Amino acid sequence: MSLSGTIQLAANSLLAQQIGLQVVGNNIANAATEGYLRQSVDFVPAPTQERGTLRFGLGVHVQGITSEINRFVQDRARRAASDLAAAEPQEKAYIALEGILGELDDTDLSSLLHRFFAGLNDILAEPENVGVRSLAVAQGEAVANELNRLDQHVRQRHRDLNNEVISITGEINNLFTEITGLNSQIVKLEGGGLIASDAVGLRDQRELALSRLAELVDIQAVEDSTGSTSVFAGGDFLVLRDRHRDVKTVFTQQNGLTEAHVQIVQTESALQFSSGKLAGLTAARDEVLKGFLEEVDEFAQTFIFEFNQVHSSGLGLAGNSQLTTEFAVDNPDAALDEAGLLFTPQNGSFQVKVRNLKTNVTETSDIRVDLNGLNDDTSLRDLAIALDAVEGISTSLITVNDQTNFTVTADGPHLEFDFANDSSGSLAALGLATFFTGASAGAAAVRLELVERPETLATSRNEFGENTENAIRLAGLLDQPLASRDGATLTSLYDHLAGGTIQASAMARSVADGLRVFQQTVEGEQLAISGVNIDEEAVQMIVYQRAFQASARLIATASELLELLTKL
Amino acid sequence: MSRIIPVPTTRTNDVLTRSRLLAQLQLDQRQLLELQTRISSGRRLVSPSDDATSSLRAIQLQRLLERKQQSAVRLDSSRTFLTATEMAAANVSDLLISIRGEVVGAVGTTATDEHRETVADQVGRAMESLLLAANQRFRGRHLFAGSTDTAKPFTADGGYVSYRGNAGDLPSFADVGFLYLSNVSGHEAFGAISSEIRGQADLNPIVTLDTRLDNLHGGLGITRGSFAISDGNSSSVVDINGAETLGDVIDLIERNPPDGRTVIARLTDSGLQFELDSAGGGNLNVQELVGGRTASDLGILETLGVGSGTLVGGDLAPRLTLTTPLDHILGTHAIGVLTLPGQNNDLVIETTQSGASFNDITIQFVDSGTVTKGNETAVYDVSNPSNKTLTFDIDSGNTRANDVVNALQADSVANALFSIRLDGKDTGMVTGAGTGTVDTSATALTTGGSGKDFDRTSGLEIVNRGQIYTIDFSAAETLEDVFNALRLSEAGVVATINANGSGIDMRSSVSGADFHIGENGGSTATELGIRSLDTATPLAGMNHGFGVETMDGTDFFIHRKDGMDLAIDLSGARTVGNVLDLINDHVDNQDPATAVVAQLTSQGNGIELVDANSTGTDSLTILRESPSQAVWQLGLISEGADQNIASPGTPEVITGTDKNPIETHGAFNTLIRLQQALRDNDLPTIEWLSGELDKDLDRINFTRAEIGARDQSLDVLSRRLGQEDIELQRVLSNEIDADLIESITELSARQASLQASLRVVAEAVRLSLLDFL
Repeated sequence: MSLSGTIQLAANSLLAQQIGLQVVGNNIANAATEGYLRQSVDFVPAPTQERGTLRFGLGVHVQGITSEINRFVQDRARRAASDLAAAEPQEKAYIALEGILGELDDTDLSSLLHRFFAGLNDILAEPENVGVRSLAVAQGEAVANELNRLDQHVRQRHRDLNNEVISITGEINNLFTEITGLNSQIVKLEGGGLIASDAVGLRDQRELALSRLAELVDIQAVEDSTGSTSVFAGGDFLVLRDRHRDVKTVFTQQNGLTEAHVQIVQTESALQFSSGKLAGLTAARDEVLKGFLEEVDEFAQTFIFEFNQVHSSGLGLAGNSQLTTEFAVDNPDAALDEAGLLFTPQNGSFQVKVRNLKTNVTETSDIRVDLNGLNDDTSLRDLAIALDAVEGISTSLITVNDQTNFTVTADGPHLEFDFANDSSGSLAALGLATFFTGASAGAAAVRLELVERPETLATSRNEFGENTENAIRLAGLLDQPLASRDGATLTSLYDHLAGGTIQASAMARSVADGLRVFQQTVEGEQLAISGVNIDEEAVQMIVYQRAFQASARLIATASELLELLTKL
Repeated sequence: MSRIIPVPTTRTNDVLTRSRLLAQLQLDQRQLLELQTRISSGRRLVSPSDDATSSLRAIQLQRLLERKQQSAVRLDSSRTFLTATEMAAANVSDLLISIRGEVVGAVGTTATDEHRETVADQVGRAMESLLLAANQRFRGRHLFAGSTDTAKPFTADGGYVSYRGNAGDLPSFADVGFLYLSNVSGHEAFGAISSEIRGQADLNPIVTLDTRLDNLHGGLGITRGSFAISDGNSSSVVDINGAETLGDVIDLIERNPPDGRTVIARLTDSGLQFELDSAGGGNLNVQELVGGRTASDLGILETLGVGSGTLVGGDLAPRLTLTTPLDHILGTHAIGVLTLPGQNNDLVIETTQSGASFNDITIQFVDSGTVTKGNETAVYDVSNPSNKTLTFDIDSGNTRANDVVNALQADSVANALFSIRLDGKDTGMVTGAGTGTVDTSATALTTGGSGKDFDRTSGLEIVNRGQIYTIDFSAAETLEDVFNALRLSEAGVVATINANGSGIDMRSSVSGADFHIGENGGSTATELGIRSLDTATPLAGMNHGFGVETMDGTDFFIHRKDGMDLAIDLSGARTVGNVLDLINDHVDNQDPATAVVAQLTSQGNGIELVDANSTGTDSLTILRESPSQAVWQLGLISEGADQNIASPGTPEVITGTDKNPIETHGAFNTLIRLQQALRDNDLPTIEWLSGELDKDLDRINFTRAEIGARDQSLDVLSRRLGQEDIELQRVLSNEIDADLIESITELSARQASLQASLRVVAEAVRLSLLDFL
């Protein structure tokens, strides 16, 4: 080994320490950069030189600069982020539902229901007071409006989630583009180098993009030997080296709700995911909000039908001059229980009461609704004919767009009619002489004729305005076991609706909190490996500095020796 | 929610430290915000999911609280009605007490006509005050209108007072599931409706295919379930849970026969009957399924079996309804079924009138050889009642069932007595109905006829408000039509179906008038069982309860046209029927040629004597045996007279008057009658009405006591609701309200924690090795 060699060796060392210092500087500079992976310089002893029987070291060799990363921890972090991103939209959806439901306030649906039934109770003491009836009808409208409001707000939230899905679709495509671009650059830069260290900055960017993508969709990212990372979701590849498959948003309609779904453009198959924000949004929309809407609709349907069934079996202070069925049938000749009505009538009968206002004489007629399934079951047409045969009223069938209704009209201004004692449920099923119209939360309303003439509110049984027997049944309906719901009451059904939402919300919060802790734990592990510690870097800096100083000293010493030799 | 995130065991760094510290700061500040919200709102739960279990309890408590509070408000509101009613009743009570005092003074021996006239005027004014009180409105409601929405419950009408309200109650919910009455009807307070003339007759409506199962057994209905029908070898289960009518039950029985068998089910006028097909024999029996009672309720439980015969079910006793046709009451038509081999040829022949006399009529086919298809004849000889045969002359084997129908309908005599129809049980396709041929092998006997047809042509004669009202039922088809005809007559009567659904009750809503129901030349009132005077009328109840006073020995004589005097001693008589029997069964009144017949009048009401002796020369006469007043009190002789001589003729008839008037026992009735009695100086009546006045006072005071008791119980309930409110508020507060002391303490702790976190941030960020280099 010559002195020149020694100087050369020291010069290499100086260069290496400079690289070390640069890496330290880079680390310090990025100490606050999100997603930055701490870098380190891989020093290896330089190749040895043989001289005689001896082998001399040639100093230090910088093999590469690598990012401090643990692939397993990184994967776990991505999964944790995916899971948390999936849980949070559901948590938010439930919180929103709680807000919409407004329980614990005094303006929620249950409070309005109780006010409505209190209004009906007030009629019991003052049945002839049209003002009290009017108030009860108005309180019924408030219940219907609240059901409408619940429906509209949940639907709005549903639309919001759809918009988020659409927005995420664009973001996913952007991330695909970014990752494929970075893949190309990394492959070019590293050229399949063994330690994959050349493109550290680009790798950081790619890691960031992958992490963001993982938050959106639970992906599997696999890096190959060229340094390119492929991305898969549920078996479908999304990114393969420098190629990717774009995704798009497609829309479906279900029960009046538009749903945005993400498809892979090339295969037109649904993007597979089980976690991530997209999964969370989809679950929040399709399970939480849609499930809630279905439950509210089911409650509204039961409430409306059961209330209407009692209402249409009673008589008001005054009768009606004209009524039209609300729910049409596809086939007027089909048995009523097979005609596609939302509420299915059953074998039974009801009465029609026609009152002559001049004489105050009422005539009663029995109308049979034969739905025993054996023979000659009653169809809409049969029913219309039977009603038409009643003296004092006429019935006409109306078919529009293959949907048939009928109208019952009193045969003169001095005649009025109403219905009573319906054991078949056909009046409520057809929407005749009901209190509420509509068959869902969104469509619930109070029948217009009733709003205009509250005296037709059916409070009596058997005779016009002679008693309050029907009002008692209406007022007590909230606590009446319902045969159609296996003995459940409207109160218990509402409790189930509200309680189920609150329980589920608490559960969603708890799950999201747990995932948050887990995600932060894993993130801690990740940061423990990849995060920059200024103190560490300072120590490292001193080490490099000292090494640099020592190498410089070596050069100085060697130089002095050379100078000494040249002076000999 | 606070959480502890593990600290990595390997290394740490600035990013991690900063991330953790920021997270901690966020947590601290969020919790501070929560605490501030909790303290400022006073609520422990900001959203229900903060504590789902507590929230659910709170929601239920809030609901209960809302309902209790609404009940309390309603209770207070309703109590004002009771208070107003009580005040009105108190005024009425004072009024009646004052009149009572005046009346006592007017019946004394020193009372002059002028004094009585003055008191009569006072009674008139009292009645006006009473009318005002009875029509009092409070918050838009007539306090004494019952449950109806009538404009003015009491109206003065030609010296009488009519009540247009009803006796209904207005129940309100005072608490969850607890109803109380918020009104007192005019009838309850003032006695506005007469005691009912209870229909004595069971109108015995028949069952039809459309009779609802709920209306059977007087409205008790039947237990829905299943039963088993067996032919002795195999059995089938008939489930009638979905059945609404007897028609459904019949369909279900026929649709579910034992394996390999056919069951033919029909309705009789009183119930079900069915039989197995004749081919297989066996023992038809019906069993209940375990624990059931459906077959028993349907009257067809037959555990031992009827062999191969017909199982005839028991009487299903349907209740009357407003829509019960008048053709379906009182009697049943006899029916015969002509059954022939093959389909579309069985015929059902039914008599058009009810009655047992129409049973056992033979229906037969003959082939005289002179009749060709299409020219068949039907013959029923009405001139020979003993020959009860309806004969069809047919072209045997060629005549079709439809031809037989045409033949009967073409014969005016037969068509008036019988109706004929194709048997639906034997009909295949509708288009083939009646096309099967008949032959002389078929014969039938009519059975099942009972009772009689309702006499709707005669109608009723009702006396009320001093007027006679003739009620015409000739256009009536249903029971409701009968009620409507009564309502439209303005006779002041209210008719209702009685409680067990077997007959009708009649009541008067007019005070101050005598009310009678009698015949209008027929038997309508008797058939409906609503004569105000009938054979069952107790003598003791006649004459406004003064009864019929008898004396030892003869009370009156009946002098017949043949000169015979019948001495009538009413000592043992208890009812009007007994009086009629005493006359009709008199030992000297047994020769039909000379006998006097005592009966109830066929026009109006009362007792009438008929002497149809065409040879007697005397006049039918009733003679009072002094001092007995019984003959006056029976209405056979005008009060004060000693005899009543029939107008000459054959027969001679003495028609009595109805001495069993029904009246509305109440304050208006008493005052109206009292005013008249004072003017008439009718001391016995004044005395009787004084007693009635006491009853009216008792009634109104009872009403006041009743209102007081209700008010008291509502007061207790109101207080209880108040206490419950406090308790519920307390429990609810425990669930959802913030504990301010705890919250403020927690706030202080959280502030300290935040302070510490901030300090740690400051310290941790400041510390660096670089400072020491």
